[in-house]
Amino acid sequence: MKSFEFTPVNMPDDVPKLRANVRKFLAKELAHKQAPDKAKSWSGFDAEFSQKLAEQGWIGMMWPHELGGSEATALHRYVVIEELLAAGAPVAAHWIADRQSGAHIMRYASDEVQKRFLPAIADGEMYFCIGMSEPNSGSDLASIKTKADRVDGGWVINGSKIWTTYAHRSHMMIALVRTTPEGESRHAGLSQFIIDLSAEGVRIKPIIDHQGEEHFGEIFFDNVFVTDEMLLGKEGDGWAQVNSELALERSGPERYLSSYRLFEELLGSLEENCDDITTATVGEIAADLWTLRQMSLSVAGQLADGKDPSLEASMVKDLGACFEQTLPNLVQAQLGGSIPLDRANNLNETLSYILKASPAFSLRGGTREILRTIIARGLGLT
Amino acid sequence: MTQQQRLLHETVDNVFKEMAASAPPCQSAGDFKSQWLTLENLGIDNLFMPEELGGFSGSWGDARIIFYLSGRYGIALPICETIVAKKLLLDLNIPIPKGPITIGMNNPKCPILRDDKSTEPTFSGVLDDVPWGSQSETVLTVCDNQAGSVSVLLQCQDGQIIGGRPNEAGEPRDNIKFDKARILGIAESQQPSQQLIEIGAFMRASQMSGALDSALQLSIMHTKNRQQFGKPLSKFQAIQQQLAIFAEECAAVNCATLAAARSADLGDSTFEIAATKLRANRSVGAATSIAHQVHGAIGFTKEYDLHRFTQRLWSWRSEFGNDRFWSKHLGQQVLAAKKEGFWQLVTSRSDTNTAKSTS
Ligand SMILES: Cc1cc2nc3c(=O)[nH]c(=O)nc-3n(C[C@H](O)[C@H](O)[C@H](O)COP(=O)(O)OP(=O)(O)OC[C@H]3O[C@@H](n4cnc5c(N)ncnc54)[C@H](O)[C@@H]3O)c2cc1C
Repeated sequence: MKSFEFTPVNMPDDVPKLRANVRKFLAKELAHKQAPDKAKSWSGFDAEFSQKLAEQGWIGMMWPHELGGSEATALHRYVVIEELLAAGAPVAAHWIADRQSGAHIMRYASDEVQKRFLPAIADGEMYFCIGMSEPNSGSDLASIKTKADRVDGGWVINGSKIWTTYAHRSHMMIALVRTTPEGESRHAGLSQFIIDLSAEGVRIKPIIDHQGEEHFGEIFFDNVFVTDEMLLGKEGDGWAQVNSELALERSGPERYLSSYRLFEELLGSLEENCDDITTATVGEIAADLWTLRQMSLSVAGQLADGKDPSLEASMVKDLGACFEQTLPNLVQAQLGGSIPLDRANNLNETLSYILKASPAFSLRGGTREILRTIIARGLGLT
Repeated sequence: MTQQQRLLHETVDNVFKEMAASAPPCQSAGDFKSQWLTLENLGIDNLFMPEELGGFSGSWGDARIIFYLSGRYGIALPICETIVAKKLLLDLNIPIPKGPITIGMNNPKCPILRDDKSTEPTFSGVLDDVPWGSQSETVLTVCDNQAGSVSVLLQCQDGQIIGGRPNEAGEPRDNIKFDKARILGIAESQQPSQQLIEIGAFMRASQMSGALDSALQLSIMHTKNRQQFGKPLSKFQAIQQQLAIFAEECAAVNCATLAAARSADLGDSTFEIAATKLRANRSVGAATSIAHQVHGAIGFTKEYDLHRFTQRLWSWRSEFGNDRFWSKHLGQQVLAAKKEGFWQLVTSRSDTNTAKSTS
């Protein structure tokens, strides 16, 4: 049996200082934010906030100095982002660019392309979106139909992407497309491109989600020209590349902290001496949260050591999503007990948002079923 | 794991593996003795003892490895209890006897009475559900009283077994009544009884991690071998998804025990052990139900090994604090830290890398 690795990490010695700095910054910047805004967490879009964060040097932290970073370690970056999430900071504008697109460009793009995009991302001014899903291709990502055809000096892209988070507010997309028609191996012939969303032939239509928000959208490509250097990595290597991009997407603390604000609001509405049932519920939530954090930290530590914990990351994401979805149920079940009505306002608003947001936790970034299939493969079952 | 820990893991794994393969399902007193001597000759029970006293100067991280493996192989001996008891006796400066030593909680309904007029203090009271009480030589217990708390070491045979029943896996759990029993060792304790429960909880949670992994491994092997509808069960997606959930539970408990061991070695693990035992307890329902489900009828037999692990898991989740106990305990810790906040509580604990001085 393959044993999974969840060795505890030792945090670098300067972490408490960094943490204190982030907290000081957040205390000031979030002072006027209301509970429901904080509940949005990594879905809350606020370009001004992203720019202020960039001024502190907390976007693109791990990149080289000349590309706008501070060559921080993966654990230092982890500390910054978990503090942002725990506080409910509106990080959506730069989140994807910082978490995956920029890191992906660091890994696969030429020096010129890196210089063009990374400093702008680190300045909190350039936002990216993820172009994977299509109307007829969700879990079965290799079945995508959007294609790029070679032309003089570059490529022409046709097709469409859907469910693209903040498509209409992003500047760039990293898209997975077909560069040769589907043949014997479905995973061959895929490539990744950086697409400028202001280019001619790009049309974006926001989709209103069931919470009434324009969070994601659909993007149509009608003969969109991209230059050769916008091909990311190697032609035909798209499948392997998109999997390493997904590893970045799946391994962070947002995979168990999406509904964290609800726990904070619950605690904020309780007295120290509350009834036994509520106390026990708090204890259960704390045990789950603490365990998930240890797992998530361990994944971050392994990434920092240059290991590939993608199986472990899938486990954390699935367990994390289950936890994030259970939390609103537990809180809703406790209303009316030890929680005084006059204090319940923020809690109710947060609960209302998280309840409705929660189904997405086990969909985006790979569904529960797909993650479990990956884990089963890791167990040697498939 | 350090290099040394890998070696420890390998050595103990081999010993336990052999023992599990040769152990009869029901132990006689003779089997118990000979198996115990095997471990004692190897000095596994002396893990925490300093090297000059024939031990390994082990850490909680090292102990977790042995606890885990004893659960992994379903070892039917009080080896974990003895390791823990020796550590406590060492810290208390009480001379350490030979043979299996168990740890016992004092029955709160039956207070400890000490006759302090006689020159030799004696001990009266009942210890409930003492693990392996009837098979151990000595028992260490902690009594809280107004003055503080005292640890006492007693000879099991000086007491009278007045009841108790084996746990679900048939491991002895005995109620022992002492009546003016002689005391082999006594010390004012810095380890109030809460701390004894914590150490026991860490021990059981680590054993649970081992038992969970074994039940998972059996489930994987079985579903790969057993064919229905013309293919191995492991090829059915419904089975795969269940085993993935099971593996996640195993991973969560394993990770929690590792993190708790780290905190224990740093000197403060009150929060981590509470969270770990609760998380371990809560994994048992899903894990045992999936394990038995994917096995079908064969897993329901005495002959097949699965029950050695599922029965222990069902028992161990009640021992040294069940869900009710730890969820309340942990909830109180979180609510008491309300002012600084939960987030500050968990982050400050994991940001620390240096041991608290305990002296
Ligand atoms: C809020 C939100 C934001 C998103 N943002 C982005 C984004 O920015 N960019 C992007 O590219 N995509 C995005 N997505 C899309 C997301 O990646 C897809 O929803 C996901 O991959 C599932 O695809 P689908 O919705 O087409 O569902 P389907 O693939 O049709 O699946 C429906 C159900 O069937 C199950 N299923 C499918 N195949 C199997 C199988 N083989 N075995 C068992 N069960 C199966 C699935 O697990 C799921 O439960 C977002 C989605 C949401 C909800």
